[in-house]
Amino acid sequence: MSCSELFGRELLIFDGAMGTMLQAAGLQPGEKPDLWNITHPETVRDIHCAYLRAGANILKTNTFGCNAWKLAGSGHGSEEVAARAVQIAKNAIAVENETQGPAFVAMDVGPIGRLLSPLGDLDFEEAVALFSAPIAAGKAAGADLVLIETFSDAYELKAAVLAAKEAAPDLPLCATVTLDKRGKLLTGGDVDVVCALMEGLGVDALGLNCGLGPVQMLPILERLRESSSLPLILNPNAGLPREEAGQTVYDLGPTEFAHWMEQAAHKGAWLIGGCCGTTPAHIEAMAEKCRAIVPPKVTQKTHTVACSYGSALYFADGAPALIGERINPTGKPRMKQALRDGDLDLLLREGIRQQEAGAQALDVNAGLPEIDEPAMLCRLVQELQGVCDLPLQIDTADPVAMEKALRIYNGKAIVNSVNGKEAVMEAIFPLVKKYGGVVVALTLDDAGIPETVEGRMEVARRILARAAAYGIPKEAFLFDPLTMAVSAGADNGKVTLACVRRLREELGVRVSLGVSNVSFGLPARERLNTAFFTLAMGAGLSAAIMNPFSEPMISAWRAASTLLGLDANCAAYLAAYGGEAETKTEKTAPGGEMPLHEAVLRGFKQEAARAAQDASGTPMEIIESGLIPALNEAGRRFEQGSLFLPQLLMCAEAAKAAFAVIRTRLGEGASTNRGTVVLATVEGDVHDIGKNIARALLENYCFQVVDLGKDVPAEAVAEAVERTGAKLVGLSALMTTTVPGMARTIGLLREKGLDCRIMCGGAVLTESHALRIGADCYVPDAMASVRYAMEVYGAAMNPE
Amino acid sequence: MIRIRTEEAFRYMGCTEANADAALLKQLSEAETLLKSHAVPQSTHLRLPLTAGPCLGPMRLFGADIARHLHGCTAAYAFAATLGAEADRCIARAMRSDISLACVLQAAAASAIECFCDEVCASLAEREGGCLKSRFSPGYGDFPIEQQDELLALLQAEKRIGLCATRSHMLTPMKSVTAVIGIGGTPEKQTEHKCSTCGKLDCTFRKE
Repeated sequence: MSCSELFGRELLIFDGAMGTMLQAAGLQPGEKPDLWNITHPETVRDIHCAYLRAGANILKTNTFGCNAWKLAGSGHGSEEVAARAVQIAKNAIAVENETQGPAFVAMDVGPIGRLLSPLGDLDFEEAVALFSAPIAAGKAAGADLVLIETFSDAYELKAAVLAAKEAAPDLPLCATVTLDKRGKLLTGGDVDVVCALMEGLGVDALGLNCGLGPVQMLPILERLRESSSLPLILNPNAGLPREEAGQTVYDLGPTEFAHWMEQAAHKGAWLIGGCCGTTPAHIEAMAEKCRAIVPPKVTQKTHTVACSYGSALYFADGAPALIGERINPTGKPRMKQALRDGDLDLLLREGIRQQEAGAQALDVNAGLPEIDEPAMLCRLVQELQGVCDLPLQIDTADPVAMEKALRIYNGKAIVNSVNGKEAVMEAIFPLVKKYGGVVVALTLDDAGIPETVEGRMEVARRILARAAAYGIPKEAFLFDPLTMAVSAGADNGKVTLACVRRLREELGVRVSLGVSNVSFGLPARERLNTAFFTLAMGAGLSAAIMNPFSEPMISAWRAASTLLGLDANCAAYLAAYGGEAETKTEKTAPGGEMPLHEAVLRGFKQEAARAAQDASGTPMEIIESGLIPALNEAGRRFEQGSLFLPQLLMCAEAAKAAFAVIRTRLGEGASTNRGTVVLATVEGDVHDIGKNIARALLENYCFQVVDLGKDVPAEAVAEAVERTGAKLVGLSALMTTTVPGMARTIGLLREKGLDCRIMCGGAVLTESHALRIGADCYVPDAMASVRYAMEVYGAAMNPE
Repeated sequence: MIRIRTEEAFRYMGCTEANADAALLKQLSEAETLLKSHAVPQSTHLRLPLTAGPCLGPMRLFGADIARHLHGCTAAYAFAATLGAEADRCIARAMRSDISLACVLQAAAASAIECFCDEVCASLAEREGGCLKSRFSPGYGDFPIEQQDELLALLQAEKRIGLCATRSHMLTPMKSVTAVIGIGGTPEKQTEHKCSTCGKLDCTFRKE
């Protein structure tokens, strides 16, 4: 019998702490508990036996730190330790053949001990592999289920769950996270995020462990019950820790612990046990108190929810969610060029700006025929999630790109899209089943886009039926009845709006629209889009893919929300529009336009952009006579010590704003490229502010910067130089431990005979050391890198 | 509670409060606000006996500088603190949208973690009757940075406060501190501070 059949039907008792018991048996601080499976197997077995006698139904194997990273240098592999640990637990069950009720062995999986990229240096797939090996071994040794526990980062949690699903697909899967007092993961996610992510990935039970005692966990348990459709697990610490005579002591004894766990069972915990500080006595008291309790039934929730690692987005009754549409190269030459160059800066900035403008999720589209879309989409998703916590809508027609992106996405994504075509449903539904997702479903099929409302409803019904065969419920969907241009058919708007209503009322599904298409072919598009959006809101729209920079759209959204009764006391409306009209910019020089030179030198972004707009002369003239002299002056003052780094960077930002304006005047194809510079923070190093500052200044001076990012292998630097023909490479390293990576990179570039100069910077470097490892130039600060670049490319710093 | 020392933040930016103009002060204020809403300061510590070696509990401490620093101490704290992953993300975001602010944010965060550590250490010092040495971290002097991993393991820092190290022993999240803090021993002179044990004489941040 699979234990998952008991989840939510019978109260199950987990065991208590292993670490605490091992410490009592002599485990030293810093010593690896997992190795005691090899060195002290009887001790481990005896602890399992004690818990069985106390009434535990599920034993957690002594494998909390059992992965190749933590066991490195111990002389034992994670598979060996995992197999031993499972054997010992099974042995214990055989020994204690008078257990009360069923007894199962849970393969316990704890975090690896490294932070995943982009915040840390552990690659997602590397993490999955590190988890998979011991899980496979544990399964082979006869584990009955897998317990993923004590995770406080959504991304690592996802890696572990995928590993378990792939290495042990038939084993029931439980996952518990550690939340802080505020009910949040260390990387920011709350209960809603945890539920959306875990349920999307298909775990069988979820809950909390460690970090808190039962008292602090109870309110969080209640929130879990509101969000989750799964049986809940609670494995708290024995209260809160305090120090007593140099030892950590937990403040709840067995009786008190049992009392609080009884509350937990009544509040919906179907699997209960303990974590740090708990002992067989705690479990015995708890089992005694709780054994006869039948917790409240698990209820199925019908939320439509997507999430990032940090925030969940519900598509519910109420104002539609705003999904920013701007990260999409269609019709945007600069974005297309950025994708071709692999320069994500522009796209990331667009994402951040959309969030600031009020977008609640972001559509992400990297579809460009001449690039490697799967690779680029994955990079874009990961980098965007490094700077923005909004849920993302993965937008691609390529199933390969969709799979890769959904896999590495940190959260539960919105999938754009599926439709009624057999081939598409066959390709996309399995991905949604495996990785979770809210699916945008277009009501078109192999026969095209139905002209009538009924025709589209028919496609919708068919999509739902097919999805059901995969076990994908209707809550997972955002149906998009398609917005056709009203210029192409007078009834097109009416048909779509009628579909919105019927989808909501008849099928009870959530509805999304890409509103902009309605105005295609007509002038003053924003007016039509705004009215259409408002009408659709009245018809029950749940989400809109739109331009969040459109002030009319945003105000229509706010106004319609207030009119539909979604804004108590008109508070949001008043907050947005009450009071005086906002002043345009507080930095406007009173009574006059500021010339470009001055705006840049004073670091005024908006003034600089305006001045660039108004300036006369060719773009090159403006750059050479207005921008460069200002930057040179700023650079001079910086080197003399009368201008400081943040101020220099404000000048750089102002110059950048001016450039953006000038570039549009240059037109496509014209170049201001002085030369290409490849920049990278070397392998093993994750600090990049110095490199980013150098980049900002180099770009100001019209160098084309190929920024490879951080922790860049030597091979990637060489490849970039070969590909771009760059004559200059800039390498950055912060620490003594990563300078060898710099030396290796330089060595490789020389070995390949690449015709380029190499400049090096970083706090730990000195000139002599830089030259010793083979650099051509040591650059102590950002201006120095500009000077050297000018020298390499034969340009004069101060043209007279 | 996030606090920053303005003078310290400016020093990390390479200037002094006297040179700061209104725009810079405004950015610093913005940085402080961002940190207050994104940073989640946490710390953990473990009091252990110091025995011959020196050994902090089971962990042998290598290098002459730390041995000299801990001379006379019979116990010490293993200590770790972090501002959390969201603070790192906040800085990463600023790097994309406004590099000048990113520079200020970086400096403010560096000050914030130091202030936080000082606060925690002050309460630890109270417990020890005021006899606490200054923080000595892996990487200072000849205390090998490679011992970072052992120190983190000793503290179970990853489980307690989500603090890890990269392959090259850099702390992640980045705005973090690990240290050994001696208890008792020879009282430190007013002028003694961590810069005195460091070999980088040309460091722009060196305190004299």
